[in-house]
Amino acid sequence: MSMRRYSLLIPALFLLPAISVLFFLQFFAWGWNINLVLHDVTLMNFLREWEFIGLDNFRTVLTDTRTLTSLKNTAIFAFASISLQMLVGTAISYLLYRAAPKVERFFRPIVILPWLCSVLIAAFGWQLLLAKDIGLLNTVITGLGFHRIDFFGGSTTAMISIILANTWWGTPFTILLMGSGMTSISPQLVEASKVDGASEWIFFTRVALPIILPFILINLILITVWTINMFGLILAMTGGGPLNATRVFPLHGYLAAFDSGNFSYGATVTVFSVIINIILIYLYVKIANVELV
Amino acid sequence: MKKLASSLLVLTLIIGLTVVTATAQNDEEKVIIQKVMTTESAGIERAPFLGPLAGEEMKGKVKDYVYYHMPVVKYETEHPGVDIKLKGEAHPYGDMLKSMTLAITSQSTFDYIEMDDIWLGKIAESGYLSGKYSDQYEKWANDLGMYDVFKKGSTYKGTWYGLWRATDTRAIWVWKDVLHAAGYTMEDIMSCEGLLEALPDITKTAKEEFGMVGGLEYPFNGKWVVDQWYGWLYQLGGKILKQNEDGEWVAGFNNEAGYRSLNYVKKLKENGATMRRSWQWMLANFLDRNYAMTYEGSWDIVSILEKYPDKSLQEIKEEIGVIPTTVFEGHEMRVLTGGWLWTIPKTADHPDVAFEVLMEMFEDREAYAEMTAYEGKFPTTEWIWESPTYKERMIGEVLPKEWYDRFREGVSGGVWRPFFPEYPDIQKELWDATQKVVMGKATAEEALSTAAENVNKMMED
Repeated sequence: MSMRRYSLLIPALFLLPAISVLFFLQFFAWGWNINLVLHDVTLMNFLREWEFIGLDNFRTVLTDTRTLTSLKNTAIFAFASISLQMLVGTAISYLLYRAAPKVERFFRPIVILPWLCSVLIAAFGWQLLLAKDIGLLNTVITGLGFHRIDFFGGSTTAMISIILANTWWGTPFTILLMGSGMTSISPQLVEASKVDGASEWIFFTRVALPIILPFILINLILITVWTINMFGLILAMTGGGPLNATRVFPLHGYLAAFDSGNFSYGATVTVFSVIINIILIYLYVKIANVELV
Repeated sequence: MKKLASSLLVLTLIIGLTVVTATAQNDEEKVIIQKVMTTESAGIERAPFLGPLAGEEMKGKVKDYVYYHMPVVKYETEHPGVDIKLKGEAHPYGDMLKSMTLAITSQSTFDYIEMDDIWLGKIAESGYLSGKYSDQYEKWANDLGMYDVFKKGSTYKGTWYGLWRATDTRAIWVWKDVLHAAGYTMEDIMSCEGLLEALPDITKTAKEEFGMVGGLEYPFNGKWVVDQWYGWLYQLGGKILKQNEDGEWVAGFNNEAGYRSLNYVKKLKENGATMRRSWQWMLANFLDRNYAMTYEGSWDIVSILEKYPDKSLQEIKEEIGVIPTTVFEGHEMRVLTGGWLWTIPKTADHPDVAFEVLMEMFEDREAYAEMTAYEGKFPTTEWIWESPTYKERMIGEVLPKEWYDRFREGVSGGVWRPFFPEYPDIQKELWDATQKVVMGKATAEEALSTAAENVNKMMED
């Protein structure tokens, strides 16, 4: 064996155990999922023989009116959450970048605190904040002489509530990532802009933005995947209600599988979720036309 | 000398190892670990009716009244040398079906699962539960005169999977001082119309004079709201399911009774009831005097007594009033009653021991009556209703006579949810309909007609 071949083989051998475990876990999970999708598996026949039904589950999911509702809800939730997270996160990150080092050092740990909470704690916190009778916000609202708002009782207000909670929880990640991007702007460029008399807006749009564009894209991809797959926060805050107004697509799958015991239906929803994620990531990369690697 | 010392050391080691091994084997023979799945129950830190959970020390009234009646304790007494350790998993009510689903898919080796009667069909159909003891269950039920409805609720497709050990009923709890300050008495709010009329005044008084959050807290949650509504539906002649001329089961709520009773829920909200989507806080809210009234169940009595350990029943009765539900004028009381049964999964590690322990519970009638009373539950058998032990304990120490009579009326006019595997899905349809009506998204006619269509399709499939 030549020296070159030998030097390639050694790292491959070291990587083999990790890759095997990963491959097995992925393969097993996907294999199990596809097996469920191709059969009619419910809680009531789980311990018996499963009937093979081919692609019927795809038809069942697509013709279910709740699927359309959940896809619509997911689109609203994801679009609003991602837009807000991007805007607020980038703005805060830019402010911290331009702030005096002392100010930056003080505020940066504070603004990332929400991300350190588990989503369940975030959900309960927002529930307490927005609760109709005992919520802090409603106490302020009634203190100002207005009527209480039943945030979780109305379709629109419930959707706004989960968008706000998710934005609050997810924005720190954008702040962190954008912050990393901004620190990669060379100090010479900043100096040069100052000398040329560029305004903040011109500096941000003409100098900073092109440099942090790959970071924006990575951020977009990650928060899109997380937001589209988010269901823990929504399950804890609204359970998908009222009247399915916050029943997003992953929650639709979860409720079908674990609330109604229709495992095949839930598995089929996860397959659709993956397809949606892949399409969106592909579109992002295409539109941004940025080399990630 | 060295040889002697070495020999002694070796001998000591051999003896030591033998003793340790023998003790370990002995312990192994004695200890039986049994896994229990049950639901969280306010104020009860044990597997109800079964025994203390491993590591929990019993004291106070529990120790005095029920400890020695507990089946696990009695089983141990009858089998010297046996030590049963109950390892419990108590889930919130809303998570129980999901937890059982996970137990089925992972083939968990629970020895006992305590379930609400509404889930029996679904879980039994899955094949997870053991039907091995069906004949013995049936014999016991017949011997003690179990009412037919509870027999039906303990069986699925002719097989007995457990015994519906006790029942309970829904209940509206009332702070009498607020009620009286608003100018009403308990009698005034016993009718549906009376409560509607009084509710705005009670809410106003609760807020303005007592600094409370509201008048009536109502469980507006998928797992509960329909339960409260059923009583009114049945009072007016409706049903959840009924049999048509061909003997098929179809929706029985898409009619005048359904529309009127569902509109009543809407009117309660319009007249000031707070629709609570997270019901778990409700009794605590009531006991903390945040609301003048709450609509939960008879099981709350245990928590109420524990909240006021120094008050006599008479004192509690003077402060708190209760009715199982409101009744439409000119109609008879019907209220939803439910219950729990212990079942043994096929995958249980010690199924026969589990069954023997359950039989300890049922075969000692006096002990069973004592525990039923202590838990504040109502019996499922003729024998216990008439048992002096039960009456004495229940009326004397758990419920004031007035409350006891009201609840007995409630149980006798009980509404039972259909014993079909499809029931949990039917409940979801009715929950959707209720939300639509209460939120003003549809009329009762529209909402119930859609629900009926879906339920009929479900039953047809």
